[in-house]
Amino acid sequence: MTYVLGVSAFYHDSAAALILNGEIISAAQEERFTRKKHDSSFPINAIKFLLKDNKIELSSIDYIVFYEKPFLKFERLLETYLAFAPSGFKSFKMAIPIWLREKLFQKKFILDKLKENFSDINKKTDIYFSEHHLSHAASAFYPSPFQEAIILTADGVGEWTTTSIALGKNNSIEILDEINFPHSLGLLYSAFTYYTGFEVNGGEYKLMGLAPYGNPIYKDIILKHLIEVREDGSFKLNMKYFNYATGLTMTNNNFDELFGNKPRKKDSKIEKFHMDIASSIQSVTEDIILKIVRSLKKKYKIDNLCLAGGVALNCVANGKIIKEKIFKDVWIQPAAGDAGGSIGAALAFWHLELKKDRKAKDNQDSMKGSYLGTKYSNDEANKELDRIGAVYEKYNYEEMIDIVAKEISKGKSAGWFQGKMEFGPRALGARSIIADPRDENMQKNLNLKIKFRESFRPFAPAILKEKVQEWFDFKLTSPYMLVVANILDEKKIKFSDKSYEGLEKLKEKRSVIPAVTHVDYSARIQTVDKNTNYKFYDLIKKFEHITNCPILVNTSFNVRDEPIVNTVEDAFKCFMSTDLDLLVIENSILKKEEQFK
Amino acid sequence: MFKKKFKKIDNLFKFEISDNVTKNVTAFYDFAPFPNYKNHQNKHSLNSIGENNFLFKQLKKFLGNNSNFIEIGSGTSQVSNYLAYGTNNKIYAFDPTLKSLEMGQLFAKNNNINNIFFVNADIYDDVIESNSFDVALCSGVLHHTRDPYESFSKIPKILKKNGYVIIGLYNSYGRIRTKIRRMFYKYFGKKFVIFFDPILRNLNKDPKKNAEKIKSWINDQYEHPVESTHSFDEVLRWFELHNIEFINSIPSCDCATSVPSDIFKKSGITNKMERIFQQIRMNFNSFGDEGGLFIFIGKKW
Repeated sequence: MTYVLGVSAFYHDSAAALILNGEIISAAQEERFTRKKHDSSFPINAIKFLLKDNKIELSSIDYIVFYEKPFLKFERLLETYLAFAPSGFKSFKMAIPIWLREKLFQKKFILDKLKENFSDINKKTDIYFSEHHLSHAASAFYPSPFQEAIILTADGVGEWTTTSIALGKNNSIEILDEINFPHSLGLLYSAFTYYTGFEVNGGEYKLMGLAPYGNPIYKDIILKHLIEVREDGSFKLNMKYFNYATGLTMTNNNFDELFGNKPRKKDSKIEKFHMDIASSIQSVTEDIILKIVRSLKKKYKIDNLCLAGGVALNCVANGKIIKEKIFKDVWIQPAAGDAGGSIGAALAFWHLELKKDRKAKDNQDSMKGSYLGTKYSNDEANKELDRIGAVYEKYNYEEMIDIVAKEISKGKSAGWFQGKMEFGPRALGARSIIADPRDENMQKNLNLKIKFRESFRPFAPAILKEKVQEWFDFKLTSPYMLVVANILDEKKIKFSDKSYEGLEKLKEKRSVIPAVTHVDYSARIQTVDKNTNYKFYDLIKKFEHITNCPILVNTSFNVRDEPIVNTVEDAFKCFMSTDLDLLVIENSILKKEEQFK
Repeated sequence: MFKKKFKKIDNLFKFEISDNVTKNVTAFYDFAPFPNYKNHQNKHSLNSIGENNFLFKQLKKFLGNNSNFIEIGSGTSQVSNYLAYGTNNKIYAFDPTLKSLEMGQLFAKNNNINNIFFVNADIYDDVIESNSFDVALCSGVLHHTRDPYESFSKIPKILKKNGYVIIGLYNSYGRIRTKIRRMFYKYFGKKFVIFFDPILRNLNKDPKKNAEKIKSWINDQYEHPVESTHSFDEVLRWFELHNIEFINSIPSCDCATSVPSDIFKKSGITNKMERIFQQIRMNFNSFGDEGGLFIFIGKKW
């Protein structure tokens, strides 16, 4: 019995993951416990959960592995400041004290944190360090269903690396190529995220969602001035336009002048200009990724591709990789961002340091559907509901599925809290908000009255795995909602003669499932498999029985600026804060109107 | 819940008001409801404001779920709406000014907040049954009543056993700066206070955007028809007379702590000298900037 604890922290989305004899058994992000979105603090609450959930003490952990090397990162910081000196002094003055105080001597910091919280810490306990992109590569390859694959990781930056190519074979990972800081596809995308007024390291998917409303009219400018892309997809940024290397912002005045506008202020109006910018950078990103992927296939002639790193959350680009059939099969780590680095660090240590064998399961990854977090039994959930004075009805499983499917088919929306919480940024039917995708007003209502977020944001369809080809131009599975595909022509509703611009496009019905069809007829699909989430599967099946539609709207169970709910109390609070009609916690159902009697 | 006759308009209970001073104050707030809701404000944005307020965030956490709460002198009921949002607590917003309450009621209606009730009545009229609430908040109100002690003495009765009272009053020492400015305001008007009041100075950086806030602050701080100030020891006496155990205060009674990290955690009352020092100190920090309001929290035996 060998336990390895993987930890990622101190940048954004800190998390902890536990593996037992090489098997991923639990993982959680710290933000779910502290209720601070993208929390970067040391994941002490997540670690406590992992230990409690598996009924072990800290002393039972054999190895603790951190997902990156702080000294290398510090070296990059110093060299960058030196290279750009004297500009960047302000940022240097702010960053260096924090590094010297908290980040550089992480080994001591982590051990001190553990000592503060666990009395049984073993004196011999040591901390091992992986490398940032190796952790990403390991998180993409080791849980994948492939024995051999090319691994592409791309994000903002790790220590030095921003993009890496590796070969995964059996239990080994060999890094083949890298692109280093400051040339970064992730940071390029984040620069445009910043420029369009969204939050860096969190708002990137909003930029992606905005892209279909615009036209890529700035693509040529981006390719001419901002980035040089070679035939194999490798790239070099023109740092004249960026400020992130040493400054406190992502872009600079040259960037503003190039596009003729200042960065949009948060909460100010989104104009057509911002939509066109979003569309342009999305198109450039897709082109670069496709070029890289094509050249990888040509060069290494390997059938499978694994993806991780924040850029791998760009599900539109992922959809294009799959659609082009460049690789026979593609697998993407569901926690592709830094949180997933905790799993990667632990697995890299197990296979590369301890040299343990690995046998991939055919057609099945080892992420367990990404359901790796907290859970409640029926009794535990009801006890919590009693404690907070909630009014609820208990049902047996079949009754619960029946009632919820019927209510959803009548246009009600529900908070769906079932089984183990998801690991990663997507809600996959364990901590989800669900609704009827056929309802024309559902997208607007869910965005404005339940999620309190921008009206343009699309919602994802969760569809029975075996029905996906009947509704979408997509023949594979997408269990982790990481791929975008188009709805089939026969399900589309042609746009009327009226020509709508920008957000007005939302007024068009678009398809028979308008709530989950984006304005370009695309959808970020989740295929639901009975083997990984039978409750969600049964619910959609029942909904199909009533409506002939094997699809539900599935969006994360949270409101704007808050992490996905973790506990029964979080779920109740979110339910009471929004216009959700129902809350379904295991087999118990809460109706909103009954809470005030 | 109520002992006297009322008229019910949706979730608003309206009682007759007899006291003349209260009627005066009501007329004042009819003219200037305080604080007003911002344009396009919804329950989510109101919640963000509440979550950034040290006192109200802790209060909401302390209330948890399934509690009965009353805010006496709720005005436009922003705090009450924030406390109601996202919980199954029963929140009662109590104020003699109907116009202010109606603004809160409209906000609750537009935002589907269903666990809030509005009570249009005067604290002197004793309209609420005894032992009704788990927590009562009365901040920035008693010092605008005819007899603050008499007004206060109505609160312990409506609390359940072990219920908490939170009162906020202008401090006799901490409000010295505002008192001086009030004197000058009488003679020199707005021009003077806009430069010498730190809150107004800050708001005046963007006078167009903050015009409403500037007006409200001047009304509340410089033009209010009824105002009194009180000391820590006075409130401790009030607590003692009504079997209320002192729990904590903002600022703290303890010189070593400016603001307690957990306001519902029992702390000591220290000694008279230390308490006086803490009150004088209010003039040299943000408490003085904000008009010298102090908060006392007590628990009913």
